[in-house]
Amino acid sequence: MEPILFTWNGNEVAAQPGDTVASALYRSGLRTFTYSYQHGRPRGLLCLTGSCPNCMVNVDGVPNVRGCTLPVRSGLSVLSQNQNVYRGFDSPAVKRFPAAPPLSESPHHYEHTYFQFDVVVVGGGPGGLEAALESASQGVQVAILEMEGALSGPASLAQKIQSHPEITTFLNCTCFGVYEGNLLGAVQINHAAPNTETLLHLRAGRVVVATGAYETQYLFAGNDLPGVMLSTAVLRLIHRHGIVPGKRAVLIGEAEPRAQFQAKLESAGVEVVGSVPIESVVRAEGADHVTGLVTDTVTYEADLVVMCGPLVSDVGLVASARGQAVSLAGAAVGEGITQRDYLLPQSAQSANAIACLCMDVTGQDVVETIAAGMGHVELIKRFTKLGKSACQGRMCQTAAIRLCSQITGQTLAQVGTTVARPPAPPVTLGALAGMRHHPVRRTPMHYQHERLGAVWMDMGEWKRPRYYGKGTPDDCVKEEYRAVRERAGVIDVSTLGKIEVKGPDAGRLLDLVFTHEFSTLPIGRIRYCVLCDELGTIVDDGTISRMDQQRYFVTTTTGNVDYVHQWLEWWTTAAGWKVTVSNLTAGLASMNLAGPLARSVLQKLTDCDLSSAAFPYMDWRQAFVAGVPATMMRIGFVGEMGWEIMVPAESGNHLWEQVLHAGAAVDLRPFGVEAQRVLRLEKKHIIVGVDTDALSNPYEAGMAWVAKLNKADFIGKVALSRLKQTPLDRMLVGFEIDGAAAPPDGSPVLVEDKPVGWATSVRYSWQKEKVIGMAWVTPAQAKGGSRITLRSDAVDYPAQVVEEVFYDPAGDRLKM
Amino acid sequence: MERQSALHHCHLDAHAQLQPFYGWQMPAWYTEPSSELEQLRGSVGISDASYLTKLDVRGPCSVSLPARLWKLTPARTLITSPLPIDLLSSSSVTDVTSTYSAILLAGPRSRDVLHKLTTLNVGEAAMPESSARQARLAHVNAIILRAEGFLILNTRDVAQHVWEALLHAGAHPFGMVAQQQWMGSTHEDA
Repeated sequence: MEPILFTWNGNEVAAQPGDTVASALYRSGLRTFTYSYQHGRPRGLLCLTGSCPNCMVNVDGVPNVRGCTLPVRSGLSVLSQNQNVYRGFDSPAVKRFPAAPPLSESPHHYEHTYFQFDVVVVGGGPGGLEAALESASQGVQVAILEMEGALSGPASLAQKIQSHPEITTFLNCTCFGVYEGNLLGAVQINHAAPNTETLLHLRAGRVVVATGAYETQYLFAGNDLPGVMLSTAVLRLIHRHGIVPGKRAVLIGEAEPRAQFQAKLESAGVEVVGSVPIESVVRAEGADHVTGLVTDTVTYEADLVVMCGPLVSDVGLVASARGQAVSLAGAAVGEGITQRDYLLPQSAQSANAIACLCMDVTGQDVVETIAAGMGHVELIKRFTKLGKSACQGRMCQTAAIRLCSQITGQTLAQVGTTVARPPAPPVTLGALAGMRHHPVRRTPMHYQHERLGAVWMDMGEWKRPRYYGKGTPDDCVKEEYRAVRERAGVIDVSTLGKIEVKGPDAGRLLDLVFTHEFSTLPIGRIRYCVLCDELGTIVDDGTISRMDQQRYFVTTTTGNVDYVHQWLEWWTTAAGWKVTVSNLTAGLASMNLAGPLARSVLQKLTDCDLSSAAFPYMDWRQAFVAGVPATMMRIGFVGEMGWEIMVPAESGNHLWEQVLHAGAAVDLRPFGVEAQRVLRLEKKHIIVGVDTDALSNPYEAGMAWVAKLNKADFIGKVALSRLKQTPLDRMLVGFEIDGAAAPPDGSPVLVEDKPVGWATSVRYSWQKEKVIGMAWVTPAQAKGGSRITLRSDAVDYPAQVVEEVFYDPAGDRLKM
Repeated sequence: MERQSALHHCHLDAHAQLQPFYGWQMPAWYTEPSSELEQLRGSVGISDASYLTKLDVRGPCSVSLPARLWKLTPARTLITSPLPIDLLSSSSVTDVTSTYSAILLAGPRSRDVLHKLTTLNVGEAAMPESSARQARLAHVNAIILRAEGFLILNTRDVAQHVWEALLHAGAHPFGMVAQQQWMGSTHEDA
């Protein structure tokens, strides 16, 4: 058979089949696996069941892997690591392994999976298997989660389980918590390369906790020396791995388990030189490894000290489930496990007795904490950090409770236990984060933009071209800007929301929801629309076209389409009207063709008469464009004559190509969001959510004309009527900066060194050859010519307020 | 002019053999129809079914085969059909063919793929043949229909994202030739 070879700190180590990383390293002679958190004490194998922090290693770059739970395989690169390092104590005198190189990217592959079962059994031991079979015999779907690589318990039982059609078994799968609604979190590790950590979300009708019991350590001086082990660890080394972990052993514990264990140890060829109750232990001796045990009467020379420690039912999951329907099975019930009363020896109170391995809390620390008046285990935990790290109190809590009870004279119940909270054991952040399925929304013309060299910007989940080309951003944007102002340009506006509203009550609904009146809008016409909430705050803006008597077409901003859709559905339902609201955003490709030569470009592609006499501003027409049935809307966000053309999404690519082709003669350019932002700013067209915030109303935004207070009723009318009577405390105004440099959007606005507002949009205007913008200021500064100062990075930008629109104030260019 | 689905670029990237189906430019196959079908029957595959006509209907309605009717909510029904349907010119019917992409996820391991992408219970008992659900899938909204596998509808803008997530979760793409054979064989089984 091929030898299994892996590396430990760069040196090759041979392993046997069935080895874990920890057992293979132990076999190779390693005894000190880690150095402790605070005092740098050497630590060796203790539990071998993944319950303690002593064999944590770095595997293929991933830290904090418990070596005793990871089956070894060829090619693993294992590095030593310390238990978490507490920087405050990181002096040269404290022993440490060198730090592992920092992790840039996890080599693990992470996945999430979601399951539903009638019954989930946590624990694949004898108790769990019986509970699973019993449930499955009633014909329900059962899952078993087993943290190790195989089910344990009688072979016949395990075989029945594996062939049972209703039972699904998850191996190497550790449940870390039971959450509301019987949701279980579990991590399943696939040890084959590449390592996959799968986070399982399991919904269970019923949860059975059959996690069994685990052995915990005793508290005495030197109890954490390498060579002092729990009896389960010794048995695993002997029976699973064929390693005899010593020649001369001393046993500590209750008489009965000691006697049972002594026989097993002797049959493995270990000489048992002593067997003592815990009460008599004075200290374990040794520097880097145990060399003997001193009791109050005898000194034993030994290279192995075995704690036949107290067994504790593993009910952390039940405790953390907090009222969920959870039942217990097997040893987790606590039956057959007698927590015999025993006394800890005097040395349990020494500074050399380690109560909490993870955080290096000593017996003395606990004693001093109690002396300071903190005699409850929750207080001890908070003050000393006992039980707050990797093993979550599994190794320390029973000993600490007993010590506290012994010192204070309280019963164990009076000392109490700490509240169990998930996750226990710890879960890697990678597993919680899972796969990277970050959604990306693409318009129908996405790959046209990519071909044209678009530089992308993220707008929520959408990708939109910021600008096109390889030049500097300024040069590219300027070219696109000039094309629109002087010739023609086209921009993909498919991300804008498109909602169809139809039915006998469609007009009534729009009258209620928007500030303008739409029931009187003639068929064929378009009107600007603003949606306010009950407080009169501007929520969204767009356009509404009347398609026929009972059908309207609403456009919204990119980010608010779902909001507006739900808002319309809500009011339809609330009013009980006959209206159908459909969000068609994804089904339509739309582009805005604009510029003084736009008509000549578009006319090449359609028979529809585009002259202003036949097709005036704010009208829409349906016609074939480039052979595709299209809706054309004559609107002008950028301030030039233009048409927004909408076609079915599948035809978007075709139309885009045809528009570019038809525009080649006049040097038409595709333009991106950045050029559009400059173009619209020159027209002082606001962008809701950029120039307005979550409190802006139409009066302060300089849009009093949208509040149609003479309309019978609409949402926000009451508030707007009040606001109209109320003096404004801020206003949105335009401004020009004296110099050519532009501060960023959001810069504060000051007057006489006092803040009076902020700038919402600031851009260089090639039309004005100045930096222009919009800003919120107090009414005192709202008059044209008022002097204000923008400030950014301690640089002042003197500016003055400008009342009129920066470009084509009369709007003549829209109607050419 | 044939219509292009939202997954057109994915098909091009995968070197699909494109051919017209139902007026759409669809991938006939990526590698070879018989091996795609074999893989599908043994494991799990995905195929573009965006050519399906889709109608969103409010209120009562009825259709005849091959069109199928899916109750999304008590008040909302979705109709799918491989053939164009004469639209009832009614304010309660909306053609959403262009709005939604459709991906057929099929094969014996379909559920293993869905388990990785959605919290929805897709077990046989919870989601029997002909049922319809609305759920999150790969962090976006989806309509999931149980027919010859699972038919997954998304708004067109996220179609590529969902296709890539399904591939990542272990599904292999198959073309129209294999899709039609699969549909035919599942109909015979029924």
